[in-house]
Amino acid sequence: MNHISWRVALVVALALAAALASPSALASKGGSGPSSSEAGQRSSDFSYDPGFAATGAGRIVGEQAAKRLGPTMPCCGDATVCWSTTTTRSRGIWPYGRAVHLYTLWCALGGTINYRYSSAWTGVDVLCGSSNLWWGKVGGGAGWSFVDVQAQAEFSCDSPFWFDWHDFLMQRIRYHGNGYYETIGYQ
Amino acid sequence: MTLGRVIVVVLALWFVVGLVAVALYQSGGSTPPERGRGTEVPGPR
Repeated sequence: MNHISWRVALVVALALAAALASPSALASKGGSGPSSSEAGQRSSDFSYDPGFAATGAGRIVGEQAAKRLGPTMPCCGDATVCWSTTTTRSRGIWPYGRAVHLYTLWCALGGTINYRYSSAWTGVDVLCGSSNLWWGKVGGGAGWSFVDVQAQAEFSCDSPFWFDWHDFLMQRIRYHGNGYYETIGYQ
Repeated sequence: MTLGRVIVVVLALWFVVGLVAVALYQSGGSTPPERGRGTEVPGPR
């Protein structure tokens, strides 16, 4: 190969190296972060949540967090923060009182849920009994900005008549990654 | 008091007790709070 061919090859090689090392090329190659399509999908998933507009101020850390969590959602501490609460759905007056309680402990890092523990139990007065107690996650969870937990139970109460009264109590709570929660359904 | 009157009184009392029981069964109770903030607690170890 002659002298000019070597020069052309060197120039082409340098141009390729410069193009690969440019910031835009690095950005398009990505890394451990989510792809643009994934970020867009998450953003649309989170954006429907109506409960965050009135939940107080927060701070957004990073453009990526803002993209993933949506513009109306305060978020993003520097370390995992945990909250707990107990909510109750009840009906009736003694001796017919009956209730289903739901305790949830949830943690979030940067507004994203990373841990959740729930437990439910029932409370009944003397003429009622409970059965088929169930609780569990029904939406969101780790990696999301919220987690939905539902607790429910059936109740049977003695009546003055020849039949029993049957009832069903349910509550569905949405726990957000900023410590707030809201009731999204009950029966 | 005749047997018929006893039956009427018992049925009337039963009716009253039934009405009170229905009222106690259907009234009262609570719903979970519409919105709230959890109590900040240490995380699980």
